[in-house]
Amino acid sequence: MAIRMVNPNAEVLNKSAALYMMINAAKGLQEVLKTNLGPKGTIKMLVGGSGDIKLTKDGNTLLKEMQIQNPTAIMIARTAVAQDDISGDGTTSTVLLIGELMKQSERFIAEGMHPRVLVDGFEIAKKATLDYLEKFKTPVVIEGTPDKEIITMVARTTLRTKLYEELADRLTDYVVNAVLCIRKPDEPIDLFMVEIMHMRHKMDTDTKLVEGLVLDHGARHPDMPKRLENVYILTCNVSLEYEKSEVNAGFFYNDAEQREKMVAAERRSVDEKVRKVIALKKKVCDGTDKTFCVINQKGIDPISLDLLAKEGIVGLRRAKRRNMERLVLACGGEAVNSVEDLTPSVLGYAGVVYEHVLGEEKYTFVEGVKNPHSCTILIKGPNDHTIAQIKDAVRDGLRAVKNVIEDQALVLGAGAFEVGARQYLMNTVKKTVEGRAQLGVEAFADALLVIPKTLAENSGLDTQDVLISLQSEHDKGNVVGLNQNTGEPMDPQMEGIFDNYSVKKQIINSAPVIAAQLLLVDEVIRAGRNMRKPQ
Amino acid sequence: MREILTLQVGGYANFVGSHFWNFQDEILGLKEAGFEDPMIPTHGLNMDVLYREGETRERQATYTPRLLSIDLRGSSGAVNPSGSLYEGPPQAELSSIQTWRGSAATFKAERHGKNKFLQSLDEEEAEYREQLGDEEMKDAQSEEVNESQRYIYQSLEEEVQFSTDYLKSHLHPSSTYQLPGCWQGVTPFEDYGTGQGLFSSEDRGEEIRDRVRLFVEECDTIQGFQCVVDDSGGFSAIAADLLEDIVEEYGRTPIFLFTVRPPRKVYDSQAANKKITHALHDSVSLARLASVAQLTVPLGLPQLATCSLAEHLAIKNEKDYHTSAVYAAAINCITLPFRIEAAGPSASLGGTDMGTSLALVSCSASRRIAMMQASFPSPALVESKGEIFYDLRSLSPLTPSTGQTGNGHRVAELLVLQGIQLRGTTGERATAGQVHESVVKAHEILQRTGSQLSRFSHLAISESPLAVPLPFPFIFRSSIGKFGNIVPEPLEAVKQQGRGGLDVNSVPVAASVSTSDAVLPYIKKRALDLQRLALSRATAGTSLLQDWGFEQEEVEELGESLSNMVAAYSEMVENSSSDTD
Repeated sequence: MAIRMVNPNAEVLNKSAALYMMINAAKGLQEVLKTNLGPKGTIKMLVGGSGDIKLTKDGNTLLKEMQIQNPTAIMIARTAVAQDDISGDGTTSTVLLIGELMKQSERFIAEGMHPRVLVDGFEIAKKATLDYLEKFKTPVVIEGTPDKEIITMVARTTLRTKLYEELADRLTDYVVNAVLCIRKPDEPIDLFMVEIMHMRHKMDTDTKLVEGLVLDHGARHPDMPKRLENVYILTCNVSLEYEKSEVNAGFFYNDAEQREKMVAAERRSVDEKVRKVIALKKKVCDGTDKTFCVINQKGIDPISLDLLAKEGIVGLRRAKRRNMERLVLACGGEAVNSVEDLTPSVLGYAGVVYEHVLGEEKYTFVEGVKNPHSCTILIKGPNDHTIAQIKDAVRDGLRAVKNVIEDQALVLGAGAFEVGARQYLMNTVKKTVEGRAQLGVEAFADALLVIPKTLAENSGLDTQDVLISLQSEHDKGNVVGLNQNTGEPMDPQMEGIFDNYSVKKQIINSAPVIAAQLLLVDEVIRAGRNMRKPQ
Repeated sequence: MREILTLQVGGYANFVGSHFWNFQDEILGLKEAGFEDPMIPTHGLNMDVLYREGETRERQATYTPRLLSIDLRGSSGAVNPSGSLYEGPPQAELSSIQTWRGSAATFKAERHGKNKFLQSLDEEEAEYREQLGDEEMKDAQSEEVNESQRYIYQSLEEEVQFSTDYLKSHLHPSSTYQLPGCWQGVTPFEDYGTGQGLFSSEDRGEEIRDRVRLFVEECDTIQGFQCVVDDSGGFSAIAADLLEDIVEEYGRTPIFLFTVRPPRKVYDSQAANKKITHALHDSVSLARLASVAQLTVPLGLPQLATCSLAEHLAIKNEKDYHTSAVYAAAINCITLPFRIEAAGPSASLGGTDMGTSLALVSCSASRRIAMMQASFPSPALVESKGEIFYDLRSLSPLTPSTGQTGNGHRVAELLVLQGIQLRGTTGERATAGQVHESVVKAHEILQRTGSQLSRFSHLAISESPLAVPLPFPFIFRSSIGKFGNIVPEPLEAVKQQGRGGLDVNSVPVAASVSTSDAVLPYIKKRALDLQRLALSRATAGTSLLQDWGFEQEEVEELGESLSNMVAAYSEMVENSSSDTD
């Protein structure tokens, strides 16, 4: 066989052994991730070999932190992580659904059914479920002023699965306001315009939304003011430091005098640029109570800093590339690439600019801006792993808000959609399918229940009881989800539990595709030792 | 100030880096000791070029390398990647979780144990803290070397597994970046394709860029980036993307690049299935890396242990701890001029800055690959027929496929000599002036014998030899004395055993970087391989490069840049030969 020739050590597994290896890997991964799901899930503290700590309740982060060697598990993990890249959430649900589809299939395959038939059933069920999702979703009107309340609900649902309630609720407000701040009518939302800055300081509850920008550096001159009010902001990308030009490098000089002259000329041209900035400052500030701040993407050397400081100008160097854009959106004006473009119209405005020092770290707050289209979520936490976890949650929250606005729709949460879809597949769709593909539809339908089942399990409830009561409510025509505190059915609309439409759609789309790929594998070549261990 | 930001990318680069920082740490220790060790003068060296001043939250002053080290997850062994200077070890207790009120679980990876050396560092530090109040501290160095100390250093010979296992310096929390999702020993990372796209995907590029910015922002007038890159695997791709990004952001700030790889990763294997992969990896790595740096110096001999440089060394090729020490010594020496105080005392000559010297060596933009030669330890000055001169032929190449010493036509050269001795037997140091004269004399002699000299050259001399730190691998043969002097009669007692930092305190080193047509075979091989395997016709190589994410056009561009380099160096041969006609 050709494959053996390439690598004589490779082992070829026959079809059924290969299939069970796939199923086991999928189940294994499901087992690891299932305790993550929902507001009653388990947070995980991962301690590395050097004592470093990661904290996560997020499937996506967890998958990235796991050292996965099993190729099937790697394939599932990649799909799930891609899910997160596309829609920002739903990693855990994707892994759970793939695992459950494999589990359900195992039953039928053990009874002698061909995987191909199951996969055909999956395909039918997937289409039907997507149709059902279209009918089931709750439209949201975004035109004009969006309904802040409903957007808030989806952000809260997401954040409450990552952080404890009070913190989640506070952050919910921040992420909703942040996205609404950067949103421009008829333009796609660019979440990068929300800066996420962090400070290792005090408690997580000190996290806040800053209307304006927080920069992680400060002025590098002792005489520059620590606080300015009524500030003109000059955003620029102009080198204000003495750099040697190519021709100026070393051995091209004829003599020392010539060298001195060239150095002096270079210096003069830098000073000239600084003087132009100072001239603009004088023009707009003299005789008023206005002050002036330069935020430069390039460097500012000590001599230039000194010149600026003498004029009471605050100068910040080496600002982040992306902050050039954010600053203009927050403060107005425009970013300048040459001192020739310096006019009062390029200047932005901030009510106050002040410096905050923590040890060797300096922060500059640019606040009190008018009509900002950029803002900063400032995360505070006592240590790096807490900060990282909050940051992940904030990112997910921002994505959730962006999704609602772009989807113009929501899906009722707490398992309501999955139970509804399952009943629809079993009661309506299955009957229209001929032959054994019916069983594929059934497997798919039952697999959907993994979501409410896991939610119940994580809350310490009896899964059978929960599923029966949910299903019977749905059969009566009531759309209900699971109340994780009581175990009783409840109306997710009343409780304000909503999921993202695009996240759900993506899960339904990708999970069956991967499951089908795994089921239809004919043989697996094992070349390494590591693959033998299930994860 | 002329700050340098050091970048170390990849496993072996960090092995080299750990030695490099141990050398610097040794100098800091000597400076701190308050008196000048007559054998190892340290004045005239400006450590602020490489180090940054900082302050912890407890207002404790810190002095840490201005360094960004990039590696895989789990590559820091027992040492926490965020260091221990700014924050104590994190609390791995569930009760410390503040963001979740529900259930919690801990997953612990097997803890790497600290080796005896790291334990001794911890103990020393604890003792130091206790003694802070006392009037006087005992100087451990002056005490008799006891056996337990030797035992600790000896044990490193077998135990070193990670580059952190022997690193003395504390690092700033932002200095170590471990690629998220890429695990040492788990994630495949052995060729260019495995690293392709990693920099630009997820947040890695943004996070790395932020850290570079953090260090650059502090610099008043940055002199340049000094980069050591492990180009034997996926890190080639990451380093190329990172350096490209740096060029875009920091424009004219020069980049001095050393590509390093351990002997076991120098591919000349005949294994058929890997041959194409290795060849293309080498071609693509060189094409991409050399196009972004002002000057690229490839380092990594297939047989370091038996090369001419190792005449007095007992190196084991398979030990990264051993081999990386040699490259670190060479890199330390060649970068000395960037740290020599401009207006320093006469103990050193030829201080310069990175931009100037790189412009000199590379001469023109197309000759950006240079070869490195070194001697370690460097021989003393030679006296013959009433003339005292330095034997320039004692330097042997560290750049692969460059043939023997003195080969090739050199256009430009940067030569650095540190701690050269007057007479080998006694270890008596020569003054900078004497060394300078002896090099001039050597040039004269070479000219007399008809040898070619570099058309441009810069010579830098420092009187201070390489202070051998503890720990240092036991790689010196018994023919090397306490001051790195080569003793004629090896001491019988220790003949078999290598000697380390306890036996040899300092070593004179010489290093040179030059543009020479001797690197032509190195470049030519890579250019031809790319042409043969990926460009001439649709072959396995073509599809491999596609798998690595290269479009056909990009491959052609890479091929073109390699053939341009070949052309630039071939031209040099013609020019030189016409000169001599």
